[in-house]
Amino acid sequence: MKFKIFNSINILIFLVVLSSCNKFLDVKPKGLDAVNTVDEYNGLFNNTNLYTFVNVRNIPGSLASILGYPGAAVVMSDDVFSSSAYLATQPLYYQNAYQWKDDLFQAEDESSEWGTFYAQNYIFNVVANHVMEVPDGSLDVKKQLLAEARANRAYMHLMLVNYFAKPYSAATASVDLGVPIVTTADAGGTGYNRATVQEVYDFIIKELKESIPDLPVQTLNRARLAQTGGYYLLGLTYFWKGDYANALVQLNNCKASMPNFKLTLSLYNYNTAMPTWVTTGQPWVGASKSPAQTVSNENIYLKQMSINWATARNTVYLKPSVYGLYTANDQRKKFFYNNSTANAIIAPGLPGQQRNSPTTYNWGPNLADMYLMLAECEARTGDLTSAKADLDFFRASRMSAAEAPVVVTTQTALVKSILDERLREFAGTGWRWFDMRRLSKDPVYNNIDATHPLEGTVYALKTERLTLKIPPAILKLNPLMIDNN
Amino acid sequence: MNECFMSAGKHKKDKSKFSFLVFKFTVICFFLALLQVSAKSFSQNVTLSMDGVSLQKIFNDINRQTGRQFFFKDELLNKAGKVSIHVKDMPLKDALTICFATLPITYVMTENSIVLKDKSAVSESPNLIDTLKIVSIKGKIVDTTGAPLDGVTVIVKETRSASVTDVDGTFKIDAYPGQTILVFSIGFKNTQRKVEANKQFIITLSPEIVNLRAVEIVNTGYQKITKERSAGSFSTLTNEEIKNKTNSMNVVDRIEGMVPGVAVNYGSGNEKFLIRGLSSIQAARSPLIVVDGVPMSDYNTVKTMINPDDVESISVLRDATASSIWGSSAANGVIVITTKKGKPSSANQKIRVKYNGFVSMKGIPELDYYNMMNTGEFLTASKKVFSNTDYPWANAINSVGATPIIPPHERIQYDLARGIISQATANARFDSLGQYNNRDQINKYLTQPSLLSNHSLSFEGGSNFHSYYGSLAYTLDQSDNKTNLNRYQMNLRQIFNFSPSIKFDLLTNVSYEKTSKYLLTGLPYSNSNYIPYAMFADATGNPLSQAYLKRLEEFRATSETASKINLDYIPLSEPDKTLNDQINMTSRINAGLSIKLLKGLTYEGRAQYQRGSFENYEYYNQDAYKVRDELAYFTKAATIVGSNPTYYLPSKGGHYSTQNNTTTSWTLRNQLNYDRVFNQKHQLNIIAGTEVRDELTKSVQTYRRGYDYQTLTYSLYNEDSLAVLGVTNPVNYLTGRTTNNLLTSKPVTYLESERRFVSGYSNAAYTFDRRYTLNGSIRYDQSNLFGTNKSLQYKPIWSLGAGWNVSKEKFFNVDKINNLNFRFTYGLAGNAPNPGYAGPFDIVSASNVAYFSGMGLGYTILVPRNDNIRWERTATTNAGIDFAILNNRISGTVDVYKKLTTDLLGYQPADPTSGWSYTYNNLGDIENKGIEIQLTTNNIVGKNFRWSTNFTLAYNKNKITNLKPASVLTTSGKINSTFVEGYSAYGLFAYQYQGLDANGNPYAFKTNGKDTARLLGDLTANDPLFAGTTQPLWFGGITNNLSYKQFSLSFLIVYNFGNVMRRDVNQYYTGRLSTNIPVYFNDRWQVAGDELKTNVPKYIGNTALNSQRYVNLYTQGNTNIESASYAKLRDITLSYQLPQKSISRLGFNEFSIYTQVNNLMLWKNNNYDIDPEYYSLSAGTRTSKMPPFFTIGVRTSFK
Repeated sequence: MKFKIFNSINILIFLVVLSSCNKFLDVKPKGLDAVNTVDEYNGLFNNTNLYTFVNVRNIPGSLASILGYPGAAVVMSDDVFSSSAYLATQPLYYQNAYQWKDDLFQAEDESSEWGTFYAQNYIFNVVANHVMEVPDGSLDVKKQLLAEARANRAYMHLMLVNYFAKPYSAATASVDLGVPIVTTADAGGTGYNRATVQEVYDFIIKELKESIPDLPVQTLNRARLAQTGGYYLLGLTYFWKGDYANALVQLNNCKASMPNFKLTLSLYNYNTAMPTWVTTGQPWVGASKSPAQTVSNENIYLKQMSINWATARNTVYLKPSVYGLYTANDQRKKFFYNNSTANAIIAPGLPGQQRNSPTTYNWGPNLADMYLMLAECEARTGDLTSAKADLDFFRASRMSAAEAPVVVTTQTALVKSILDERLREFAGTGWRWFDMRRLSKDPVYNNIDATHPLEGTVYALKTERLTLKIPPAILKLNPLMIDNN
Repeated sequence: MNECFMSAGKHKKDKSKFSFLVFKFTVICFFLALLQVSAKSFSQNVTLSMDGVSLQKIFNDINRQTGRQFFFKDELLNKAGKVSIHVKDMPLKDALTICFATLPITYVMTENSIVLKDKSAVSESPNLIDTLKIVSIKGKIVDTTGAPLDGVTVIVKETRSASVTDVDGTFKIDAYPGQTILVFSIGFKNTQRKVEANKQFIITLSPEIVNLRAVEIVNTGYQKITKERSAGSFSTLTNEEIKNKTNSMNVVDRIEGMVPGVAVNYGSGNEKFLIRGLSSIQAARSPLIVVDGVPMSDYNTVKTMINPDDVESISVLRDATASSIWGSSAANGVIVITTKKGKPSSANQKIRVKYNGFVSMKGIPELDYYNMMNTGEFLTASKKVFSNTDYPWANAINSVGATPIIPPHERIQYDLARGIISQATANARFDSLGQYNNRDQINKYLTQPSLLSNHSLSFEGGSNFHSYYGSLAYTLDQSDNKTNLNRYQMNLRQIFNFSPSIKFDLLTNVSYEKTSKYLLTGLPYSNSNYIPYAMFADATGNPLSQAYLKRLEEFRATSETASKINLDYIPLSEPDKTLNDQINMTSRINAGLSIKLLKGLTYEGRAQYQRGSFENYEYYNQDAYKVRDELAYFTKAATIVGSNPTYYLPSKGGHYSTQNNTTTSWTLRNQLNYDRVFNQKHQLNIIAGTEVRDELTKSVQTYRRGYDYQTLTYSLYNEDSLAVLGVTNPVNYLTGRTTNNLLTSKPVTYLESERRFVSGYSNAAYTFDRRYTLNGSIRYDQSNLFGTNKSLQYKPIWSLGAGWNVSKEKFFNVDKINNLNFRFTYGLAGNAPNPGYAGPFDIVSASNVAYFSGMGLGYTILVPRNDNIRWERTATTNAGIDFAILNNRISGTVDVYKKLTTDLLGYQPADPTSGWSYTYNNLGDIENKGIEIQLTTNNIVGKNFRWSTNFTLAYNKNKITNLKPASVLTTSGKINSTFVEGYSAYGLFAYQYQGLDANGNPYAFKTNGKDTARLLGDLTANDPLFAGTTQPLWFGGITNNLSYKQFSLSFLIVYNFGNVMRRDVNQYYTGRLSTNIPVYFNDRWQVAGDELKTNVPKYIGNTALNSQRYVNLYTQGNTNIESASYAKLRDITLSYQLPQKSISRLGFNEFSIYTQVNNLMLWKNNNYDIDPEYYSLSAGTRTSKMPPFFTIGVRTSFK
């Protein structure tokens, strides 16, 4: 009897507490949150880590740590060379990359060339997978966020396929292996497999085409993708495919949408700007006072790449042949200096030029590449007048007005001079790597200088090394995945 | 000496108000001589051991042993009921005295028979007692402090009639004047008094210092239970054992060395308290601290809230049966602190007042401990390493994006190298620098002698209806860094006995702390590595400028001209330009209600509300260097000569920062206790309850520039523009800037976190015949811990335990062994994933980034969705023995345990293709094995001289049996890892250092012990070898208490053995000499042949050339692994209790004074004078070392 009373009282208390307990426990602690509202999905794009190509590791309660940058392109480009004393201070895989070795990564290296893009892809997938299910917000806003996520996701796949798959060739694209197409956010995902290059490009083009109409017309922020950036990315995709006619259409769309930019979007005139960017008497600091990429008027959409590790730290020098492309009054020469800076002493005055500040470069959509791609597409498709006009317009922002106009008559000469201009503009930024891949298939304009000297040894670039091998850690996790040759 | 046990049985007065004490086990030890009666003595002895039997049964047994017949009336036996008796080899007459002590029976013994009689009948019989009138005596039993003692047995020697005192210490008994009353109580000396007519008795019992552990009562926070009724592994300390530990005002610190299995790490790096080793890597590692039944949020709050003088007891719960009632947070052990309750006053004393106070003079840190260079040595080293080719003047003054600094010792050399001055001038300038040494000034101006002082006044008293205990305390803590803390604590605990079955208790506890700091910010160096010639004041004490340590003079001149801001820096003038205050106010109210519902069944409700507020502000006026300096970074020079520069930040007003934190928590508990004894043999105790808890923390931080302290106004500035665009071409470059100087501070920061818990728990203890004990407990916890899957939370935490008291068995007949008890327990505890670390959603943190202004808040995904995470589970198996031998002179416990933690929570690798290269997941297992010994011995128990010892020793062996690391272990990664699969936690790894080559560069062996390695790239993660762990394997303490008459002496020696540390070696091998360095630098390789004499690599000025070798082979080599074992005299206390006579006249009941010396190093197992308590064992760096210190204190109680 006593036990019955004992039990019934206890059960009673238990029930009273438990019945109210669900409500009691539903209070959500502040500070952290799950992604539930349209504002929160929108906020996922307002992330300073996203406007840089950087492999970041987030840990609750502590500062994010940087695992690396997808910077192999910087040391693999043919416009630079290195010396062993400096190269040795870099991680082993950069040393391997410079020598265009088959295997860059150790068995368990974290490859930022792989991880960075897939890590950003995860965030875009979170939005793409769920934003339409959110109860609040207008349909237009949700469609806009979905478009922004899908276009960005396509962009990540574009970078990946251009690191880890063969350059696009219409003849073999349907059998060449590309990269896994990842369209769902699942941190526990396993068993990935590579789609073909054709499938990846088809995916990219479809995603971009479908999302551009829903992207915001007006660009409010350089780190948020709007239509101007969307057209650019689609143009870049065709450009890298070697489909210059289609690229031209999209780049013209891009140019036409430029007035929709809420911020200033224009080329800096280096003739007047450069003197305010450099420090008199301190050529080694480069254009240290030039505007940061985040506020640079030339940027359409921001995906900056840190090149500080490679340039100011002396790892790579501009080849004399490339440096020789600058005319005496080309203002871009002032980015370079032929002596070492503060923390390097042993081998001053290597026969090359270091790129100094600015220490980051925007790999994302920018005006310089837009004008140069546009000019090249126009030249290749036969519109030499427009091509020359665009090229001259661009050159006038980089050197004196007198030197700016190019003097060429033939299509071939014009395309070649545009390619030289690309070398000058992108020198030492790693962007050249993607031109090398594109031009490697080009019967006429292949201008690759496939040598990297290192203390008497000259390393040569094999065609298959235009494609990185899949990092061993990824192969180990995905046993069915086939590696590149 | 014979002994006997007598249970009060049915005749015990009902004390169910303290339901957990319903069965109060009473041990009565006394000298038989006291009971001698005039009758002739019998030599015939009996041995009886029976519980809850009829007298008839006892008589049969006695009859069998002695042949004597019993004569009695049946009704007499019916009156007696059932009794228990345990006597061993005792004279029959004494055994019978015991047997009838509480029964209404007396006896007459003849040669071969015993006649039983009704006691009342005897009393009335005139032929036995003379004609004096019988009187009913009322009396009261108190202890020396005047506190009433309940449950004390009172016996009239002549008639054997007995009584037991009530809760207020009173008793009533029938006796005749001239008869003698005997009083027995555990822990007190036996006392007898003659009955006098018409006189009320107040009998004061003086304490008997014997081993009291036999009746240890353990408080688990949910219930009090006698230790013998639980198979769990507990240790309990009483106030007596911790009251004189002046090393810390945090009562938790005072348990060091007295409780087996609690490792205390004073060196930096490891957890300060570890119970039974490390059982988690990334979840909580420290023990749970519970105060008055409610978890206290953290260790520091204990110090703020709890006056150590108010602490009644501290229980440490180590195994599963002991701690699993605390559920998921108990995996690391539980420390339960119980504060004092009041006892009713005696009639002639309304209130009992005590005062305790002490002052500890702790001195200043020993700067010599760092072994830094003096000025002469420093300048010599500076001359040796200076190189104008490695560090040309042009580079030194032009480091990109940083303010150039050339300290004077380099400046002389640059000036010489650049041909500005002659060698003679250089020498003269060096000589002039060489005169100065700032060590004394650092001691004088930057530090103050540390002092800790505490005064505590307590009072208690009250009536049977209402009793109270209260205290007021004041603490002054002057820290060596000139931070002064004043703490005031108030505590009042009241108990209301509304009726015999309803009791209410109320605790109010308030603490107020005020801290003021000596704000000397911006010092370019720490006290330990300050450039030694940099003086703070001149000979007459006027503060001196040290602007030369902040900026190159020329650069400063340019900056000052361009900005029109004074950039001078005079350290000692800085604190005058600041104001600060820190106030911490915490209060708690804890109330409990206990209602006796039915026999044995009690309801207990408890509620606690605690609120803490922390308010801090710092103000730097506009003349403070920090303010002027920052302004210079956001100032543009005037473009037109003569006009004013442009200030982007306010040029008037100072920096004002505030921080306000509030913590509010409440707990509500409903519990039913069932505690009954059936048939004298079955003791059953069950508790079951529910608990709801809420903890809410809020914080607001503000930062304003251009603030006027007096008028409370501030100037505006464009935060958005300064954060996004910044200032181009400023007067000064901010270190690490890329293009513009950006301002990144936040004007306001809000933080809030709320955690809620709902739990259900039950605990049952069953004891049969005081020999066999079974324990079980179960608990469910559910919380709102964000991101944990609720379905995963409903994991029961449970335990089972069994105990067997062999010494209470009938067959157990070993004279020398007084107690022998075996215990065995098994159970689970766990750690939930930290809130926001994993769960079935993507968890994001918000940020408001200026760059995205207008685009809405920013969200960063910190944790990806994870549906499969499991709790970290710790299963503990414990086996223990409690024993007491040689008449309880030696007693102790031994526990052996094995703790297996599985599903350790932490980061582990994932497929980067998914977007995450690691996830927070279950990644491994840890095993802890160990043994814990506690011994208490009463070495000498004399009339005047007593000596007792308490000895603890624990061994813990820890192994990480399985661990998937977050990233692949690299060579240097392993060296710097503390958790590596296959090794102990807090492991140290070292290179197999082989010495220096002919060029003075280090080399080491690879794993195979043959191949040499010179560069990091030559090595793999297999090459560094395990050198030991920084966590002690053997640890404990010995306390000795000696007393001689009024003097007592006690000392505690603590020891830690078996762990290792890195030696502090020279770390300066390249680059400019810009801070002071240890003298070990002088031992480096300098000329060919030195490799035979030294292990220290050479210095290479050029940083790039330095990278052609790897000095860590030496600094982290096995040659620099040292034993970290040591033993220390933690405290030695001499106290003197003034004689009662002399203090009595002054109104004192007790007055003792004591002095104490702390922290005398006794022994250390290293040759480098390293005190492992002032050291980072894994980093190999010395930390601020305090000298041994001295304390003087008094304890008094007023009449």
